[in-house]
Amino acid sequence: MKQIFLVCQNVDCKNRGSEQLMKELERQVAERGLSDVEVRSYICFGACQDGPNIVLYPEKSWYAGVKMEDLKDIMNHLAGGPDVKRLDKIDASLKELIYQLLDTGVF
Amino acid sequence: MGKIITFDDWIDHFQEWRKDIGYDPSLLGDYKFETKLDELHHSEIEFGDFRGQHKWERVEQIPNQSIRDGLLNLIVYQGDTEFASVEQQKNLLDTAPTDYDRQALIRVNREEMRHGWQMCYLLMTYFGDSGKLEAQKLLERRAFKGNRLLGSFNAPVNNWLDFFTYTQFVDRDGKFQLTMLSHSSFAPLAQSVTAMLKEEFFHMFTGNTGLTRIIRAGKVPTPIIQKYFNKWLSTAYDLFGTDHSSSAHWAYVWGLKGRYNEHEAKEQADKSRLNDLARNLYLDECQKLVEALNQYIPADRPRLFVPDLKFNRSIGEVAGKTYSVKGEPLSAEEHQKHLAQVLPTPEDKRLLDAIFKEKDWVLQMN
Repeated sequence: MKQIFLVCQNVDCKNRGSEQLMKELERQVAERGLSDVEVRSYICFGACQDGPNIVLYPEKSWYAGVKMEDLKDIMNHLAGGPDVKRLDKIDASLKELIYQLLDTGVF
Repeated sequence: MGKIITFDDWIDHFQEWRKDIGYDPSLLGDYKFETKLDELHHSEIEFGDFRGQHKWERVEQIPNQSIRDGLLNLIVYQGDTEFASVEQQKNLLDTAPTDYDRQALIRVNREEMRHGWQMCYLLMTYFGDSGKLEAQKLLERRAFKGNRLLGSFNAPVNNWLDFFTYTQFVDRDGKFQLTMLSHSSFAPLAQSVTAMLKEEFFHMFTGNTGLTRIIRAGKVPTPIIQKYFNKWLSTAYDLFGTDHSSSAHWAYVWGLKGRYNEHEAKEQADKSRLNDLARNLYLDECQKLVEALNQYIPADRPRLFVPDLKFNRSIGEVAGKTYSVKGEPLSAEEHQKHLAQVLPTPEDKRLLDAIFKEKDWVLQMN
C-alpha cells in the first residue's frame, strides 16, 4: 500500500522549519527510488505547539517536533526499522480525531 | 449561591454557571475538569528588570503590590475570555453541519471551560480574598449581556461561518496572548498557560480546516466570507490593547508578559510599542493564512484579504476613526455606507440561512 508523508505547512510548523524538512524528505524518498511513497504538504494537524508535525498515512505514525536529524530514523522505520517512539508525543485523543479526519479523505 | 471560600465552593459556582448558560453537562461525557501545570521554559525570570532572578512561585515573593495587581489583572482578563467564548458558541450545537463538527465544538468548549477553570484556580489559590472575588465575577458576567471585559467576547456568534472565522482569528489572538504569558515571571501562570496553549491549537485548527472546507465547497459567496473576516479580524486587532500601553510597558518591565517573539527577537524591546508589535506579528500570520485559503478559490472569484489595521477599531489611536477595510480615510457619511457594505447584514444572514439548509455548503466529514 502506498504510504504518504503528510508534512504540516501551517504557520507554526513552517516557522520551525517544516518547509526544509519536506524538501529533505522528498529528496531522500527520490534518492531511494521509493515509488510507493509520496510526500505531501498538509494544512494543519492541530498540534502546532509540538510541531513540526509529520504524519505517515495510512500507517498512522505521528512524528512531532521533528528535526532534520530525525529523518534518518523515520526513513529507517519506513524501511521496516523500529518505531521512532521519541517523536510520538501527541495526546491520544487528538491523534484519534485527526486520523478520523484523514480517513474521511476530505483532507 | 453563597460566598466563595474554597476551590470546591468555586466548583459549585462553575456548575451553576453551566446550568445558567444552558450548557448540558451530558455533552461533556466523562470529561474531568482538572488543573494542568506544564514544565517551565526557564526557572529564571526571562526579561525585564528582574531578569535572572528565580521566578516567583508565590504571590508573597512578588516585590510590590503594583506588580501583584498587574498580574491579577492579566489573569482576570484571560479567564474572562475563556468563559465568554463558551457563552458565545453554545447555541451552535444544534446546527452543526456534521457530527464531526459537533464533536469538535464540544471539545473546543470543554477546553475553554478548562482554561477558565485554570485561571480561577490561580486566582483562588494565590490571590486571597481579591482573587476569590474576581473568580466569582468571572462566572457572573455574560457575553450575551455584553458585559464581558473585551469587545470580541460580547459579539454574537450566530452561525458556523462565524464560528470557523472566530476560531481561526480570535482563538489565534488567544495563541498570541498565551505565548506572551508562557514566559511569565510568575511560575504558576507560565506553567498554566503552557498547558493551555497545547489545547488552543486544536481550536485554530478547527477554524482553519472549517474555512478551508467552506471555500472548497464553493457555495458561500466569497464576499460574504470576507464580511465575516472583516467583523472578527477588526475586533481581534483590538484584543492586543492600546497602541502605547503603559500596562503592557509595566507587564514587560516586571517580567509578567513578554513579546510574542521574545526569544527570537534580536533587538531590544521597544516598551512603548509592545501591543503594536504583537498586533503586527498577528497581522502577518493572518495574512499568510488568508493567502493559503485563497489557493482554494477559483481564479474568476474575488480573493479574500485581511482588513487594514485601522478599520473598525474600538480602541487605540484610530478608535472611532472612519477608515475603510483597505485603510483609506472616509467621511463620516461614506463610512456609514461602507460599514453596511463590508460587515455582515441581515440580508447576508437570510442568504446564509438559505445556503445552510443544504448540506453541501461545507465539505462533509462523515
